[in-house]
Amino acid sequence: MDIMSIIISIASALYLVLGFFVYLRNRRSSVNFWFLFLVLPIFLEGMTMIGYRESSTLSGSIFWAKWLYIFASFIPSIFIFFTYTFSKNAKKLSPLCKMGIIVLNFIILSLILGSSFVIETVFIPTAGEKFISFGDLYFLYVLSVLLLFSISYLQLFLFSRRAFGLFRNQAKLVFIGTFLSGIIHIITNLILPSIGIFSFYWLGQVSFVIMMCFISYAIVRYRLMDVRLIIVRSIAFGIIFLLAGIVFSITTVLFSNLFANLAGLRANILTAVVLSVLVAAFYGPFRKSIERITNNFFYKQSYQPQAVIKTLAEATSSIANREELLASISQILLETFHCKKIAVVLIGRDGKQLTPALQNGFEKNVFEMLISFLKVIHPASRRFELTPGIQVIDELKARYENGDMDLTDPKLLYALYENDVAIVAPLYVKDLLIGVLVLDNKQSGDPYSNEDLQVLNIISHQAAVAVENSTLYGEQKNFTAKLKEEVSKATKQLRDANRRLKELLKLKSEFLTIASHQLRTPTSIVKGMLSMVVEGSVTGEQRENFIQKSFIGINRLEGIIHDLLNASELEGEKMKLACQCIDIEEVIGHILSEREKMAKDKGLTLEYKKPKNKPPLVLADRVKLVEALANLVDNAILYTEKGEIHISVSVNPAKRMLEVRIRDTGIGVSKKDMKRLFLKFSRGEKSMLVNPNGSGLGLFIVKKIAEGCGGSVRVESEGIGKGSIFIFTLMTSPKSAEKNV
Amino acid sequence: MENSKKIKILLVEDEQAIVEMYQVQFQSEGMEVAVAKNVDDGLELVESESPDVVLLDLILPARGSVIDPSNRGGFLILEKVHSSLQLKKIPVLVLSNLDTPQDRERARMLGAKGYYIKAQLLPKEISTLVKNVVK
Repeated sequence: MDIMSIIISIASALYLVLGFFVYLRNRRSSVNFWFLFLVLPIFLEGMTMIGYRESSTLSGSIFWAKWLYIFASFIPSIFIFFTYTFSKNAKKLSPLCKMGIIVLNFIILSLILGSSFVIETVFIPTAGEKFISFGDLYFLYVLSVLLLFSISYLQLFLFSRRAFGLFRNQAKLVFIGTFLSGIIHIITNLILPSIGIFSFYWLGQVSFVIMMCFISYAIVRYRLMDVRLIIVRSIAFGIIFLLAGIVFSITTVLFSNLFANLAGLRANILTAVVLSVLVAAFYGPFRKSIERITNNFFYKQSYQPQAVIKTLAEATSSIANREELLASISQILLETFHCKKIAVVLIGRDGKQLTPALQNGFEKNVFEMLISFLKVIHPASRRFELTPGIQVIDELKARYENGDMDLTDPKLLYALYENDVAIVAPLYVKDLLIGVLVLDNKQSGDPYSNEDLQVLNIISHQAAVAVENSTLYGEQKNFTAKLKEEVSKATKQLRDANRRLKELLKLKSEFLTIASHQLRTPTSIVKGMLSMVVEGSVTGEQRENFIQKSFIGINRLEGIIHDLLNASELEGEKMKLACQCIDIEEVIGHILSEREKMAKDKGLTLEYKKPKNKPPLVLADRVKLVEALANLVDNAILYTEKGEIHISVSVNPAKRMLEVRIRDTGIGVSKKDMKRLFLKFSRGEKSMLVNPNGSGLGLFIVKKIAEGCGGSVRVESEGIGKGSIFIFTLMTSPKSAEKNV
Repeated sequence: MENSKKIKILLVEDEQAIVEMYQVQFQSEGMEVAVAKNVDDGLELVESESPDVVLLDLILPARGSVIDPSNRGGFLILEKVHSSLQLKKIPVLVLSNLDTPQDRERARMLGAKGYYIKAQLLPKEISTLVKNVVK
């Protein structure tokens, strides 16, 4: 067995191993299936080549040569099936075509085996390569092989032009790889032999290495046939295998030499034992370091899925706050996949409202797109079995462009693509979609591998559950806080209400106390005086006086009862008055006409000084206004011994107020009393001398009436004995104000 | 009664008609009456007049001021009598138309010898009370 045969056998074995790996990795994929099927004749061709080269007899050489050409003819036929499947055109290959290919192969097979039209005989020289003498129909064989290859290359070439993104890159590599191998193979195994050159015969089989390299590269770099990890691992094992082989050989030689003289046969057993111990001892660390090396080589920015999932599990189980949790998940994902942008959109409780929950690097309009994207893709997203629901935008786009998929809104897909969105991973809690997570492309430009997507799938499930929990936690926390707030609010309201009630109760009891006091005062006078009259302990003038005083007392009692009822009605709140537009001069005129006689009897002047312009209408309840102003005028008459009572009206248009001033030349008010004068049951000290009948409620009622229609009342005085001015303020009617301006 | 000394009453009362009425009653029974119509006068007279008994109203104005019903000025006088060694022996009868447990209790604490409601008693009944307390 010469070196060429060894190389061929190693190469062929590698093809077969790769083919099986690819097929076992994904048995459902027709591309993977046809790849294995393509590898089979390549492997068999290699095997027959070795048989041919190693055969020393003529009949053996002819047998191997015939089978060599039969297997060689299978390669382009199966290659057609592979290329059509790969370029997603399998349906275009009509049953007639398939039948034609099979028939053609059958004819070739029969011709080669049953006749010498193709392969006549083999010449075995003493030195150098054997050579085959071809029959008359050999050119037909060459032509049919060339024809079949051409169809495949055309198909591949067209596909590589037509495809986009990932598929385009895959197609290019497959095309270049197969084309180079094919051309070399055709030249060395078909063309050159036909002109008698057999020196490069062996190269044909080895040339498939080129194809395998390109395909492997496409697998690793562009996720061809989803077997990247297996390829990487098998390369790792290949290296282990190779190194183990070397170690084995060296050790064998060393031990054989060392122990050969001592134990003869036993040396081999001893060697085997030592070797197995060595392998057992070094296999683990050896494998790890080899894996590390291959990882570094193939995935420059690699990660360990178990470690990532563990980190994520730690983060999700220790963080309850949703913002912090999302930040943590985002950091883990960015570090794992070496991408730069991430965003999370969550669906609200109602299942409709989407809220941006995390945004890192993406433009804001990506959120809006995602909202629509979910609507478009959501019903279909559960169908993806391999990586459920995770959408690779690049692939979606390629599939759409290849016509493999219909999209309701292709613009949206392109918008996402243009905004760097590479991955859309839905967040599911059981069957409930709670949101989506999006990532941009890896910084290295590498696409997301199948392994990445599976890791992302696990992570997104974990993240979804954690986010959901944190949302529930947040809601519960909010609810608790809200509840607390509500309870304290309600408690405060109750407390306030209770306090107000207590205050009201106190006011009421105070009022009753004072009211009964006020009622008892005239009662005690009337009762006491009449008792003395009845007993006869007073006579003459004194008797008359007491009777008169009793009568006054009864009147006073009635007045107090009236005031008390009035005041209790006004207690605590603004009087409910029917405020209307009223002519103040008419009211003043009415009061003057009623009080003129009273003033005249006391020798006082009572007058109203009309302003130049007629004053505007005021807002007031007429009955109450008359009562209030009459009360003030009565007080003025009562507390003035001599002089005059002067009523005037002035308007403040800016404030929309009208003031009625009642000025007297009476007893006046001290500064101290001014504040207290309008309080309930308060009376000026001097007033006792002048008006013992007062209830102490008059000015309180006046004040309440003034306030009832938005006005006020106040007193001005320069002091005791210097007269006083009571100023009653009213709001002017808006209508009349306009008239006057 | 003839042997006894003339009883001197200090009447602290702001209501003119009541003052008049009691004056007639007490004088007809041979008693001497001093009248204070505000807190300040009362505080002065209780000392200067050295009365045998004080009839004290509770709601009283300060001199030259407004009556504030929530401020029972009469208690100031009661306090003065109660806290002074010389005045302490003068019996004070509260004579008011106010009737609250708080006011009654406060009067008792400040040593008032009685608490009466004007409207519930006739003038002659009051003079009987006065005679009893002086005796």
